[in-house]
Amino acid sequence: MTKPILSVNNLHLSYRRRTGLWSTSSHKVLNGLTFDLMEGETLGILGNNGAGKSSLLLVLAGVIKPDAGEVIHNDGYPLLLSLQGGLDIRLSGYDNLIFCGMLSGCRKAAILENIDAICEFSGLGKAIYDPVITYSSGMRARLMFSLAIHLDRNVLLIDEMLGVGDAEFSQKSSDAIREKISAHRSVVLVSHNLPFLKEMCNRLLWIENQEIRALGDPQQLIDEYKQPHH
Amino acid sequence: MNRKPLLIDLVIIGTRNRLKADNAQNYLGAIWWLLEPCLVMLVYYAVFGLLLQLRSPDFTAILLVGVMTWQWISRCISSGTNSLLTNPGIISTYNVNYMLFPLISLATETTRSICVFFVLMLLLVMLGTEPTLKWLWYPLVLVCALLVIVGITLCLALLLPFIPDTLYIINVALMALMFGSGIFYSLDNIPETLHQYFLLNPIATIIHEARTVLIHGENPSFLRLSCLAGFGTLFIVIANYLHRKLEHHYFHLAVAQ
Repeated sequence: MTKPILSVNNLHLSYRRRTGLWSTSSHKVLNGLTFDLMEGETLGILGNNGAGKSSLLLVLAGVIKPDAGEVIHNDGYPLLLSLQGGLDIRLSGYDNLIFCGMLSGCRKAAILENIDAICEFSGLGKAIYDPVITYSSGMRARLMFSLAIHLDRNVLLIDEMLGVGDAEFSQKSSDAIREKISAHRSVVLVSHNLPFLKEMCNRLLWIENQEIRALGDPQQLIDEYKQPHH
Repeated sequence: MNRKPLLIDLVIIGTRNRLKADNAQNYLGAIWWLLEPCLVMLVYYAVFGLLLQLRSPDFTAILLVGVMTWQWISRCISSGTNSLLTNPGIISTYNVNYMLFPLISLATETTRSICVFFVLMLLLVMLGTEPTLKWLWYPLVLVCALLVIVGITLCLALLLPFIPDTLYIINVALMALMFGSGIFYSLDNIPETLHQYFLLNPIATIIHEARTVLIHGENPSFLRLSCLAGFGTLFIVIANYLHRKLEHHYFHLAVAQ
């Protein structure tokens, strides 16, 4: 835990929406965030719905460019693990795995190396070759989770991926995330599961009203967060 | 695993997926790649050949080259230009080069059309056109045409999300191009004084050069082909510039849809 692997510097972000020919409405999501992610650290992000946690991960992953401020990646773009995104429902789960893996920034060869493990982990069996349109939402979540957990990068961003699928898969996926975090060098974790955050994180970042409310010891922050009206 | 995939690899896999998904959606699958242009050809033949009696000696051959080339161009432009609007899911989840979407549309339509172009040559031979060595220039004409189409489509695709209303204008413009590019008539049907203006339209030039090579068995005009290639390259450079300048807007436009 010596040097920062990712530095966030006075980050500002608004969502803009055009409402007419000349008018746009803008809505602030992040207001002047500054923090570092150290090498080897697991940083948890805490905050109410709509606080800007997921937007922050999207900015860190390079999906959204910030309005002001900067994100310095000292070790390439991080990998964002999330369950939504870009599935072509007319294609098989297998074809989607390869394309989504590539969209996440992995080479095809690297995905093919792991494809058996991914299919195995998903537990979808032969259904992996069926079009995704025939999948239930639980099966889709299994598919995307299995892909995400098998892709590798030096910095991982994990957006609320616990409790995916049925009881059995949910346990399996929580274990996989635990394993990933303990094996990994640097992780940013968004979750509403406070015991899990306490267990896994070295530090917590608490976002409230688009700004950093506190950054520090998990136990202390969680106690404070749990108090009514904060 | 830290190396990013190249844009070209994403285009190849994306195109393969698109073709697979499209073919899975109907019973005849890839047969439609050929059947659709042939049906369109029949419609044109019925209207301009039978109803309007536009019958020059090579009318069927002229129409064939015109329709098949136009089908490729119009499908590329119309599916490519709105491709950033039809992929909000990927734009709001992944950090990608946004030119990926129009490039996949272009590659998909072009793959389909390659089969059509082989069948086109076969049909020309069946209609009595002598195949000559000059036909070897045909791929060069198509490559120059492709550069123009890629350049124009990329620029339109990158600008369209800012002014979605342009989609209507593009549809009208495509119709104007259809009448103005000599699909069912050739250069011989228009007054000589207008030739130079007519050929300012790059699509008219593409169709004219394809006919020169395939029907008349002559060399294409290399000057015009270089103009097409230069024009196309210029637009590709402009598209790259637009992408660099505008890329931070597309996420917001995609989620606001």
